Parts: sequence; structure tokens; C-alpha cells
Amino acid sequence: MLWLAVVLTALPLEAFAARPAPFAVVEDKVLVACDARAQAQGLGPGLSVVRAHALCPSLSLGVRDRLAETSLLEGLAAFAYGFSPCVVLRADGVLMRFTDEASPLGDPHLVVAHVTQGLADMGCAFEIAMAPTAALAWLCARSAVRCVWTSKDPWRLAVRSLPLTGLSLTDEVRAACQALGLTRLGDLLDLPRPGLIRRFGREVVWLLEGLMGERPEIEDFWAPAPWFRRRLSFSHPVETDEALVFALARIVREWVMVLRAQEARAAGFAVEMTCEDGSVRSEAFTLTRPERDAQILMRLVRERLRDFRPGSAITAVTVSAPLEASTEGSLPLWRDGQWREQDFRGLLDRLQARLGRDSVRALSLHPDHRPERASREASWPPRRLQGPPAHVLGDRPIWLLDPPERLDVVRGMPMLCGPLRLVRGPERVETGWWDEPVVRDYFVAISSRHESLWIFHCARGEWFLHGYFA
Amino acid sequence: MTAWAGAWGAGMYRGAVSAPIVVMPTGFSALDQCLEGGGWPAGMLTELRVRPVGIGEMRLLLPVLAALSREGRLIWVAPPYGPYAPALAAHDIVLDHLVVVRPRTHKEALWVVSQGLLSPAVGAVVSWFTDIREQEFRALQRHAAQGGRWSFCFLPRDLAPKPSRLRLILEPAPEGVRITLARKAGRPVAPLVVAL
Repeated sequence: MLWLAVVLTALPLEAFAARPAPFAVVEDKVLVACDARAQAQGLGPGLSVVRAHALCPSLSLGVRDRLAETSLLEGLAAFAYGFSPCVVLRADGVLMRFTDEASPLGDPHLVVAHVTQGLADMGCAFEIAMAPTAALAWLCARSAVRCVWTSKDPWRLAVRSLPLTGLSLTDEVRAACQALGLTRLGDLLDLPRPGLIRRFGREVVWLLEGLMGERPEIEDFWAPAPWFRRRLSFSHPVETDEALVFALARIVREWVMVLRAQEARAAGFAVEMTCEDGSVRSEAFTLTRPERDAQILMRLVRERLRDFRPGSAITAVTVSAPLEASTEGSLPLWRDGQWREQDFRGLLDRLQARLGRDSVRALSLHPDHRPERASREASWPPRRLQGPPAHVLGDRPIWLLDPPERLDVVRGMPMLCGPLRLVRGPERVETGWWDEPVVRDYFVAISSRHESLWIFHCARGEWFLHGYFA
Repeated sequence: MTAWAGAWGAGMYRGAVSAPIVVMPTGFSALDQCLEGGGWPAGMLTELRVRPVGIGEMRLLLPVLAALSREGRLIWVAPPYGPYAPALAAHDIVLDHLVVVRPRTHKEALWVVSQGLLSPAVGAVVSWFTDIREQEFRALQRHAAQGGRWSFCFLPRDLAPKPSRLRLILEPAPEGVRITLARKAGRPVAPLVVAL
């Protein structure tokens, strides 16, 4: 058994999209984490806000966002799931179990390299370690020991030099160890166990047994949710597009990572924004075909938000999306036609994302004898009614006016900037008895300006312009 | 689709002759003879000035649009009225390949046109503008050249001249439509009447 531990060292910080340095995260008026600039000024976790401000007046603060942290961890777990089906979620990191020395990727060093690369792409601060037991891998990662120990390695020897600081010991035990001059793990391991139990309690021995693999480890494995959900909060409410796009780009990067790890695609997404005044605005969008490409997704998210102006500044942004299982490859290995088809769907997605679904329309034929019902313009994609198209006998115009425009009548003849000359017709259209009876005599007419018009004369003696033979 | 390579030669390197252009026959031989290369040029914005509406301006374009709709897609941006499907089908337009976009603002319309021009899946973009600034027109022209697609832009007759390489003024005539090639590379041509 092999365990790979990943600890996010700056998790409370990373829950924030923008971090103006020096920056620190507070919870209950006590600092939880601070960035490098703040650390350089002598700040550290556990300091009260008042003292921190005294030490560093330019300090920016963000209130700890547990929701954002959880979603970040979920994202990490989903990423890890791409390497191992056995992922354990911890408070500030994940553990991956590999059943054998031979993982699906082969060499354990290679696995570590891949995971490291992936995490670096995500752009978060982390520590990584591989060891034969979960507890040991976790301890090494927490102690910032970047080791890759398999059971073939002399890890039992190497372990001895680890400092005790990373172990989860109670303050009393820690103080007692210090008093006894025990600083390394090897010092503790050398002591006889019964004596240890008497002096420090059962828990310490329990801990050591776990580290050395002397007792079975029981872990609850994480199961991937069938959706992606990621929240980023802002230390200062943002009003500019750039800050928002920056945060969204980060989310989309992680999203694509998760999609790749789970062999899934995004079929749609929702963007939710929490405003300063507490209101929440959300925008949902469905793609015409599932997508996994970061550039395409980012472009869609941007187009969707281009004209989106919430009333007040935004304090947090969430992207949630169901994961659609897909076996289709996204590489352009197709024939030209299929590639163009994909490009066209991408174009439609962009248009609909920016203009709204209703602005992108398709034309379709309908088997109806009433001229205005024979053609239908509705939002894309085109829907076709079953049945043969109506058989058109006469002339039909290219532009149809809906509704028809009433024409002036002088001495019983239609007028439009002068008298109209009827050149063809009449063509009687008499149908629709099942709702409103229609009896019309259609003519092709030429105006004095040489426009070709499609006009009709209805039973009540009125004339209407219905189309242009453009 | 034919590549017109008649002028390919030393003159091109001196910049005296432009690169060969890809054209598509218009479907009207009289018009083909007047246009450089013998058809509608790809990769540039063809400007069409029409007044009034309904003198055969669409019938002039339908042959080329029908041909382009068979292999690519058509995007019509902000047409003045509702396109009538039975008439378009009768002119061999593949209706499943026609997208009608109705943008709400002028800015959106410009964006849609340039997105269409840059997409390799699109055969032709036809757009209707009531007004367009010279700068905006130039931007569309750049995108047209970049994408290499066919594009037709309908503008009102009385708008100030735009910097296009090919401008057609369409006027009604008793026997068809009178076309004046107001701007084109090469010799000026007398107005011609095309029977539709």
C-alpha cells in the first residue's frame, strides 16, 4: 500500500480571489493565515487583529470563508480522483491510496511528478509526500518533507530523523517530550512502548503504530459528486470586470482539471454572485454540446457576464456545473466537415451566451396553407413538425410582414406611394376554418417606385401589404 | 469556387497588382462580366446600397447564398423583415443552415458579424445596418479579410460612402434591377441592368 498526501499550506488565503499584500485571514478576531509579506513583518497565525494592525498598519484582512475552502478542497479531491479511486478528504488536504507499488501510471515518482505538475497548474501552495502509511505520508507533508518512500526503500530509517512538531500531540505531551530532550521521531520510537503508555497515554503509541504501519488504517473514502461547484470570495467587494474575470479564469482552470480527471464534460453551468447588500444573482447557461476546453468555457462565461451588471459590488462568485460523462474525444481528429460542425456549435453557443437564447433564431417550414403560418422563426435549434411541407403553387415573397400592413384604398384600388399595378393574381387562399376563417385574394403588385409587393384583398374589401419580393 | 489568378506575376511583388481573389459566380452572367474575377469576391465586405426595399436585392444574392448554404452556414444579422421560409426553400437555400440573428443593439450586431466572419463554419454573413461608423466598417472589413468568407452588408442609400473595395448601388428598373458599381478596383463600368 502506498499513500500520497497533499496538504494545501495556504488554504484560508487561497479561498480569496484577490489578495492585496500584505494580507491575512481572520476568524474570531484572530489571524488564521497570512501571506509572505505579512509574515516578513512579524505576523503569524494566532495573533489578534489589534496587535496585527499595530505591527503592520497597511494589512488587508479577509474574513475566513469556510464555504470557499470546502469547495477548494472538493476541487482538489476531484483532481486527486483522477489518479486514484481511493481519496481521503482531510481538513486541509487530501490523501490518495495506491493499492500496489505499480500504480496505473507505473513509477510512483512519475505519479508524484504528475500530481505536482497538476497542482502547480492550479496555482496553489502545497506540500506533497508519498509513504507506505497514510499517517506517515500526512506527517511528512505537514512537516514539509518532500519524500517519495515506497516499501522497498529504507523508510523506517529515514523516518527517525523527522521532527516531532508535525505530530498531533497534546500540549502536555509536547512539553513533556521537550523536557525529556525528545525532538525527533526516532527518539520516541526507541523508547519502550509500555513506558510510553504509562508516561504519555495510549494515544501516543496509537499514533506511532499508525505511522509505522503496525495497525490497519481505516479511512472513509471520498465519493465524487456528480457536479462541480467552486466558490471564490473577494476580500474587497469588486465592481470591475477585470477582477471578476480573473477570479472566473481561476475557477474555470480548476473546473477543466476536474472535468479531465473524471472523463466528463460540461453540459451547462450556473454563475452565482453574492452582492454586498446580501442579494444573490444567478445566471444559468446550457451548452449546445458538452465541452471540456478551458478556452471555450472561459469565453462562454465571459460572454454570459459581459452585459451583466449587478446593483452593487460583488463579494463572492460561485460557478456550479453538472458533470456530464462523455467518451467523445475532443481532439480535432475528425474530417473537415465534423470539425466545422463543432466550430459552428461553438459559435452558436457564444452568440446565445451574449445575446440571449431568443436572439439566435432558426427558420423552419410548416405544412400550413395560411402564408404566415407556413414559415416559423423560433430560437435555435430548428424544430421541424412532422408531415410534408405545404405545396406552394404561387409566388411567395422573400420578406414577409407580420402582421400585414393595411394599405390606403382610393376608388377601390390599393395605394402605396401612388397607385399599385397588379401584375399577377389573384391567388385565392381560403383555409383555417378550424380557428379563424381566412379568405384572401393575393396579388403581385408593382409600386410606382418599382418595388415588387405581395398584397391581398380580403372579403371585407380591405387591402393589405403582406410581403416584399426583395 | 474559382481562384482568379490572371494577374499573378511580377506586378504583384511590386504591389501594383493585388493577390488573386477567390470568387463565387453570381448566377447572372452580365454581372459576372463586370466583377473582378468574375463573381462575388470572398474575404471582403461587399457593400450594397438599396432604396427602396423590395426591388430584387435579395434575388440578386440568393443564387450565391444557396450555393454557400449547401456547404457552410449562413448568418443573417438584423434582417429588416421576417425571412419567409417557403420562398427561401424555393430558391434552394438549405434552411437548416440558416441562422437569423436579431441583436438588440448596434454594438451587438457588429460583434455578431465579426464572430460570423471569423468562423470557418460560416459560408456567408449578410448584415443590415441603418448606420455604421467608418471605424466600425473598417474593423468588419479586417475580419472579413481574416476569415476569407463571403459577406454582404446592406446599408441605406443616403449614408456617407464607406471605405469598401466593392460597392453596388441597386436601383429599380422596369425590367429588373439597375446596378451601378460605384467602387471597385480597375476601370469604371457603366451601370448595367440585370433581369431577375
